[in-house]
Amino acid sequence: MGDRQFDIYRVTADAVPVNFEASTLTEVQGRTNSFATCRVVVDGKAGYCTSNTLADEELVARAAETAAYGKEIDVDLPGPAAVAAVDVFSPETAELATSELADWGRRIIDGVKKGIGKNLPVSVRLDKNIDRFSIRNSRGVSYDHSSTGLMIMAELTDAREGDIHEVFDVEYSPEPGGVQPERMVRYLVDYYEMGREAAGVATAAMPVLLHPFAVPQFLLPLLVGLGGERIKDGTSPLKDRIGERIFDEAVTVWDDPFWAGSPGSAPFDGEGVAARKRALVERGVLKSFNHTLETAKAVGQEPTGGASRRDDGRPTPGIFNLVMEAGDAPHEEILNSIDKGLFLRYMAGSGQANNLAGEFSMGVYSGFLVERGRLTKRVKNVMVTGNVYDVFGRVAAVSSDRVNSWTDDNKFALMPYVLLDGVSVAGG
Amino acid sequence: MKNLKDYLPDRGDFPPADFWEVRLETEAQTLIRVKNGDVEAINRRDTDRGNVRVLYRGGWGFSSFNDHGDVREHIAQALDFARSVGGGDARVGELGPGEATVAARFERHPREVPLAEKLDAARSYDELVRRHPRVDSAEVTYEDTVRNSVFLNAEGRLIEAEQVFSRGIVWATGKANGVPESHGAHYRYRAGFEAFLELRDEIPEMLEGLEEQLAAEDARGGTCDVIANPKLAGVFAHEAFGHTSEADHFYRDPQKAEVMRLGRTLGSPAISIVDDPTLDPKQAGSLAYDDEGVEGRGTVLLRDGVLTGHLHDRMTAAMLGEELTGNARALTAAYPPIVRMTNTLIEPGEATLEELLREMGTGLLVKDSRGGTGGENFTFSARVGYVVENGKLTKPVKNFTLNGNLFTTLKNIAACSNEQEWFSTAGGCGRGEQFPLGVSFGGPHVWIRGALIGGR
Repeated sequence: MGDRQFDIYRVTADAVPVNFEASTLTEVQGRTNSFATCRVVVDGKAGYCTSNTLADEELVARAAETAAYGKEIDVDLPGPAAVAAVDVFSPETAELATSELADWGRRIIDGVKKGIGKNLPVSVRLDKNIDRFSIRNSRGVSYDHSSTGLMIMAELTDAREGDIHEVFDVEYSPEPGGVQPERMVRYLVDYYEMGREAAGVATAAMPVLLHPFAVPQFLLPLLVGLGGERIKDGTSPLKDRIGERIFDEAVTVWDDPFWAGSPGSAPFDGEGVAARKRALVERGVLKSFNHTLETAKAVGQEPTGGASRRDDGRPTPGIFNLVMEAGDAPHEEILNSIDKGLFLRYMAGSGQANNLAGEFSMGVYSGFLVERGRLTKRVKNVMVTGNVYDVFGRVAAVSSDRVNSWTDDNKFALMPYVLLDGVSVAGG
Repeated sequence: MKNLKDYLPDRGDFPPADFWEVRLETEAQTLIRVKNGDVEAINRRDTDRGNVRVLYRGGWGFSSFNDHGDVREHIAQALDFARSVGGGDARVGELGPGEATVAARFERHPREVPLAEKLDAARSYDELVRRHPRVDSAEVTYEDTVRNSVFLNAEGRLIEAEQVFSRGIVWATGKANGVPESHGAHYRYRAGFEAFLELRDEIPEMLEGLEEQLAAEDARGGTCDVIANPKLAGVFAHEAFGHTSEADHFYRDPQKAEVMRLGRTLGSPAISIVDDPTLDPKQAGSLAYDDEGVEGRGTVLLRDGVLTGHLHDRMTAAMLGEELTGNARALTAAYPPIVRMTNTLIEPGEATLEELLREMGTGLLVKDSRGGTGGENFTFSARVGYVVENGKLTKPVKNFTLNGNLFTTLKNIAACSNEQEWFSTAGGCGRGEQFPLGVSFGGPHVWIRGALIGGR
């Protein structure tokens, strides 16, 4: 037997979703999803095994069997290090009764109905999550981390053939005090009222204000381009551009594993690399890629943390949380400065264009016409197209207020409103 | 191998409730990924799962777990959850008892094929693809899954099943003017290792498709007539129309239910759509029983433009007073079954593709979708298209999306061609967190008048 290294990453995810379908509480669930995934490197070759039934020794033995066929990889698993304490486990959340979640749901539904003065269906899903992670490796690393999360999704539907008016909102936090059902009610009511009338848009280039929900959808090409595998194989257009300006200087984006408001914050990643806060883009300048142990070593850089381990075994490079730096003006002020443009709350079909090249071509799922600083009508059958490196090169304003958002691959994100200049908008 | 039936609780273990069901499953999976000559991943996965679902005074409780030995404590847990709903009006109709054993469909069981042979096939596809002069990068994925399950419900319906799935992807990337273009051949079938060997035959056509993309220019946006090829037509049938037909979207929403009222004319007479899990057992969406133990059967959703059917689980069928359709499906036993499609197909028409092109005269032939979002307002990104002038294909174009409103588009369907092609793609269907579920879709060439194309 030659040289052998291994690591074992375990996840136990417990979720309690409480479901209101069309204003009616219909179902309460409890779900357990656990797995352990093991990587073994034998004589420089990697094998993997994933299971929720096997003990550590068996996992290692079975992964070692596949390693004989595996790829030669050059990784040095990390040794024990001092990892930061990241406290996103709330005992209050862990002990929160389903009846309390159900009460929140009822309050949201009642508040919305009262606010709009109509009995339209409101669907609410409240999720309580308790996740436990651990990593052990052959160099003696042994870390554990737990997190809690509360997530509320609410949606109001006013359906007519050919025109469905849907308004949704999302709130999450590790702790009960961090979610604000009352704010959701206000948003749902306000956006419903503002969107009562629908309109098309003539094809033109115009200013576009992105709601924090839409910002990560536009930033998707950046996240794809930062991936260590694409740096390693040379397919990323960002590969030689560290230190170069890629966006407007108003744009600073972090991977922040220590954000207290995110259930995704953690002291270590899926490979046992200690978490650190890192600028991806600072004042428009590209600062860092996302690397696993393997991709980092292949290109002579440092692992960055943020690698995830899904149940297919192999680590993939990524981030903990996506956090964009706030700007100077409140978003209301930015909105007021727009004479004629669009406000985009959420897009349909992100990630369909040539992402790597920075391109986007998305339909508007929820958006509004802005006229003289006010949201006047909901827009229908509208597309926006362009290149993120172009439109984020012309950022006119970033708001001082930020909202909890999320990325397409389900990372938590803290985002401001972003005003872009001259975005191509195509109407139907 | 352990016998899952041994872990089933006795019927006496269940509390008095309106209804209950229990599912136990064990799954073994092999995953291989070869990229540019390297075996990037080789993973074996073994997973045990189970769940208990209880309907108590009209409220649902569900509890899933990993250790089959824990099933009794999850009966109590699911009942607790159902009680916490505090009463409701949910109900299921009568199904009746019955016992069945469903055998898997395969020629070469994945368990009987050595890992080295699976790996050799994947490696050979990677090499074959990289021999093409325009290919810079290749990636091949092989996955097999063997799932054994046992299902029992309060009515005494007992179903034991083995399911064998095979999934393969051959992906090629080349560059045109420095910009990467990718195309893949892929499938997900209820089949054994033989399906992966058959994938080899699709590689030449996939490489031709890549060349087509590399040669294409950027499309211009605007409104024009399009002919969607069978793959894109199938994606439309599934994503835009099929999801809208899932009754759990509207069974409690009177306005949505009115939009989807049976008998309404939603489309032009040229369009008929069916969902049918019984036509071809190889397709990923085919099934003998759904995950509530209901026999799979075909449902005509749209006949000559008129709405004739909905997709149901037991609850939505009972609550809307309609027939069962057998569309309750769960991704795995970790999740409750929800209303899902099986094989969703647009029925062929009478004209040939050439006749459609000639009649359309000017427009765009759109080939394949690379993804998109469905629902009432849909956006599909096309892989490639051909500008049609005087009924003839001219230059290839790329980088555009096909957009529209479902109801407007259904009415704007001018004609369907007389062929029908099926696709059982590797990607699968996503609804909520239950992704990817095996489905298939397809249809003829479909001519849509006045579609919105998003280009540059």
